[in-house]
Amino acid sequence: MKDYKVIGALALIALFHCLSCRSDGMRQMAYAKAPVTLCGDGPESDSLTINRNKPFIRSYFSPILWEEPYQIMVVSVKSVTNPRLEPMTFTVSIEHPDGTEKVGSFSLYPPDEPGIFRVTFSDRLPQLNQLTNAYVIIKHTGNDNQLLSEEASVLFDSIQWE
Amino acid sequence: MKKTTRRDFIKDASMLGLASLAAPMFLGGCEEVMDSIRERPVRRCIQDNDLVNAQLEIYKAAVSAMKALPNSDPRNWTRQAEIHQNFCPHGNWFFFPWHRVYLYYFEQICQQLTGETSFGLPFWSWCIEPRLPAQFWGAGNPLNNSTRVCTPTSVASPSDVGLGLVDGYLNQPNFGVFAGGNANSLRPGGSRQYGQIEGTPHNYIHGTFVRGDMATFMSPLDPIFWSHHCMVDVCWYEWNVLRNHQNTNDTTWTNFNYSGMFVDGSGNPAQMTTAVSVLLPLLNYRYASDFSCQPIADNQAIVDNDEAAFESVKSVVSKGAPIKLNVKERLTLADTAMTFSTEGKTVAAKLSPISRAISSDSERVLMKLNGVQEPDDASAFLRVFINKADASPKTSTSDPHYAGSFYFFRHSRNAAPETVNFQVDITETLQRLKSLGELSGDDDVAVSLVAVSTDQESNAQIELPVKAIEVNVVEVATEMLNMN
Repeated sequence: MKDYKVIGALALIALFHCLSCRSDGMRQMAYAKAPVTLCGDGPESDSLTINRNKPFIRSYFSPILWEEPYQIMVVSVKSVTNPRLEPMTFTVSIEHPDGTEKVGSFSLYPPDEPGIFRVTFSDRLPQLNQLTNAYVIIKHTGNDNQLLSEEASVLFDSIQWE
Repeated sequence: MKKTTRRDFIKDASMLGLASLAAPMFLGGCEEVMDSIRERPVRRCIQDNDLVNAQLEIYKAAVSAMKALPNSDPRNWTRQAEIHQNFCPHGNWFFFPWHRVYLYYFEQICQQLTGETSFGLPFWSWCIEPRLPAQFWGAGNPLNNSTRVCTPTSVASPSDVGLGLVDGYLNQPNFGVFAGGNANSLRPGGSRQYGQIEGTPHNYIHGTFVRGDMATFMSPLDPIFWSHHCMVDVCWYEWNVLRNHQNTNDTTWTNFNYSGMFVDGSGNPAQMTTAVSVLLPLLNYRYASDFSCQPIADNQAIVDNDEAAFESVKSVVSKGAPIKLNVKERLTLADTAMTFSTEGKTVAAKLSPISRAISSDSERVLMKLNGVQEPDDASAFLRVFINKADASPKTSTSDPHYAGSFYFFRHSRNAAPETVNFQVDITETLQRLKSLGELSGDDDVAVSLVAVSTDQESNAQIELPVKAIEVNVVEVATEMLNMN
């Protein structure tokens, strides 16, 4: 019974956190089992967008609430504006109470084509499903961390788990 | 039922369409076919040595010859790039086979135009050489491309193309995660679902590192494209054949016919199915090195009279497997660290869900070893037996209790040992023991692991530490990665 109370409290914390982001930027996909709606740090209108002024997005999630230990993160890039075909490489990290760990990366080819990318992380974060508070950070690194131009931007759709 | 022999397999392969790929091979008798297979073109890792440089000189001559052809000739350099522009699949499971077929016919054109029938495309292993190879630079060099943004001294990021990263991808057992989401056409629309090799090192090299023409779908205009994609093909070959991971058996993938887009060395229309493309590196060309430029021998199962090894290769390349595994039960067999040696060791547990699983067509039982310490001895590996407490290195792999083996892959003998995870499908062994009356639903299942050396003369004691063992009952399904 005590366990249920703890899990219930955690669920409320997670719910509160996600409700603190506006829902108009939230999107989910149909096929995965454990959606994590992106919930960025910036102004709500561009919270899912990476551009020159905001080269990363950060999204809260609580793996301890998962029904099973997922091992693959599915990142969906919805649209890309990149008229100069600037490099579009992104690193994926997980921030948790003990630090931040890079778990993978992906690139767009051609650099203006969106798509869905899978990042496996089980070997690097074997205790992931024990975490109550964690963040996914997706950061544009391009080539040698060169900033995007004013014209370029990337809109993310969702992060989900398999 | 008649057992398929190596000779039958080669005959079957020719029936599948290999005759159209290498007609001269099949004009003579079987021995001539075998000679053709043994002497097929060799693709080498680009390093600065005479063998590779000789192939690159042929490549230069081929590129010059293709550029000199009129645009009306489908083998013309730009016409070849337009095939990619118009048809290339990206972000789905046709990525690997389509590009393999594209490279195969391109290689034939190079052979035909230069008269060098043994020419094999050299591949650029960005894992080992993160700079665009020196042989592809220099004014007047046919292998140069002036649109590149990278320079001869630019270094690709190890976190996007590094050895450890790619090695991890090659250990991914799931076809869908490795090769991309399923599709019923080359460019079905909707969201692309990238496999890991494509989504990270492949895309990075195209759009972030080399750039210029390489960042577009006219990327084959840059001669490095062909050596880059040859490396991608090495990765698929290694994943499938060297590491025994199975492609999907979905007929939408295996029966897909790449027709109406390619031409052969003479410029005549050519076609091939995915099912045939998986055989190309075994019968029509071969790789002299793995993805990390470590030398590998030719496939003895094909060229030697080794029936057992042949059966193993054949099952991997032609059988295929469902692509998605949903874990239904996760059962811990041992959650404490232990060491396995040549003495063998047995762990047992009551695994009642397996009695249901082994009677089901849609469920499999997978045993997973987590945190296995790589041995110093490169010849060491682990064999798995079910309900065979007296298993030893001398126990035959034809014993009905034998379930499989785990082999280790080290990038370099100088590299520090790492811990790795392995998985073996024990379903068929359990079914076999049940049919022999040696297993019922209520019995404990005992798993024995024995450390073995491939060096049969070795008497050295081998120790392989393992952190945990679990058994997963999984439901197999092919629709999970459907993007539509």
